[in-house]
Amino acid sequence: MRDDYLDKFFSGDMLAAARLMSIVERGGDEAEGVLTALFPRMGRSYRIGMTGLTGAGKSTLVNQLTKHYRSKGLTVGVVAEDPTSPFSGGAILGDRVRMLDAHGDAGVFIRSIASRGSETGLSEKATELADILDAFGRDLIFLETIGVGQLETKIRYSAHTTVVVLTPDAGDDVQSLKSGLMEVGEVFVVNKADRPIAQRYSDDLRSMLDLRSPGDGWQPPVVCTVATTGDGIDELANKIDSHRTFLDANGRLEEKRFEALKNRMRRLTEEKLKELFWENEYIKKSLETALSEVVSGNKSPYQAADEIVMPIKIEKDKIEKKDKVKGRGKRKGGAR
Amino acid sequence: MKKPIKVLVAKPGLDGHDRGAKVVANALRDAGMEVIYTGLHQTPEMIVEAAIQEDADVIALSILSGAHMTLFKRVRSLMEENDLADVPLIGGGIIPDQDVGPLKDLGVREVFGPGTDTREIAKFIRNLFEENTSKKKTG
Repeated sequence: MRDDYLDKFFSGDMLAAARLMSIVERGGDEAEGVLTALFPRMGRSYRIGMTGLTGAGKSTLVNQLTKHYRSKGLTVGVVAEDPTSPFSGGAILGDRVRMLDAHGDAGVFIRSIASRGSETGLSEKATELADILDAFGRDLIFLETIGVGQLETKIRYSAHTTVVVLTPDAGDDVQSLKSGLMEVGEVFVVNKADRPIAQRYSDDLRSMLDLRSPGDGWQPPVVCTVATTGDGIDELANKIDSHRTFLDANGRLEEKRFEALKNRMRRLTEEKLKELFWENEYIKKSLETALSEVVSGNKSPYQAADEIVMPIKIEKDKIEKKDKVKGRGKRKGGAR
Repeated sequence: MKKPIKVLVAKPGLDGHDRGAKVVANALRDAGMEVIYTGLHQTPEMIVEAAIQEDADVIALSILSGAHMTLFKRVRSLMEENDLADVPLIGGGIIPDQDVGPLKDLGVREVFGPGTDTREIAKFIRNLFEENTSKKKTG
């Protein structure tokens, strides 16, 4: 079944791509198999993250930007995330309602995803769906997060350019945004800019961004848009393109791709380690023993936890010893 | 974690409002399903395209305009053209009793009229889905 889909996927079949995405959404060994098979084809697309307040107009902007980039001949993929209800486990995925202009165009692939318990604006699964669209050969991929209030930092590992969408009536919220969104944004949008206070709001935003330490040398621009009419979209696309050129020109794009891979490797290793660890019979027993010692007051939880991870510590020491011996030989050869 | 059932709720044609479809969408969400809602004025082509990209498990159409025979027929034939013949199609809205039989002959699995208990719809979908997965497993 899976190989059938893979063959069709490679010949550009949308349904096969969609079904592979569902396999990946379900997770487990089968998902890893699909992602491994497609990995050699990943890493070619440019990824644009769209994040910001609930109802700020992210989907409508993606719709407009998609139109813009399609007119330049680029193919587009969209992964749009909406929240899962913590009460029922169900979700209403309504981003497509704002993205109807692309219908009938095989150069646009839109996929909705429910957050399914992920706590941030963009789940790991959403990134993996973007990977599939990447392998499918899409030039540009939009990653739309659920509406976020303050902290949304993970997106910077998934997107090359992060666009933060705000509205003039966000008003005083700018203060609270300082710590999270304001730091990840590489392009800022003041949408619904036909509202009277938009000018003042965007001026305030600009002066606040001026205070930001320059970091990598990119000064995030502020663009005013009216997503429903398309006003300001060309300028927004222009700024996204400038950021891309900026990243390209000083090797930052490669760095970003590297950081993203590193972040993912860490996460995957942690997950696998956790699973292996808690599945282990010896660990299960040692948790019980340690717990009873804590309950009886012989040990603190900290001492007990140290004891549980002791086998890993012993292994680690062994490996380090071995590496030292090996390392000596290598250093002589001038490898480092 | 068990995979939630994904339902595409769509309104084809010229209907002016989508209150019923939204009530159903909400009820299915509350029943633990993931509902992709695409809004008003969808063409059969748009609906089938969304069903492909979203890999919907079930397609649910709401029609009030009286054009149900034409619209269901067109959606069904597009589904067949696009390898979606196995995906169950259900309907609701204002559909006269005498049309329900012919719609079922077209491949519409069930039609839910006004006043249906939304829990009944959720239950029907869950049964459909379980039947569909067990078929996939054995076949």
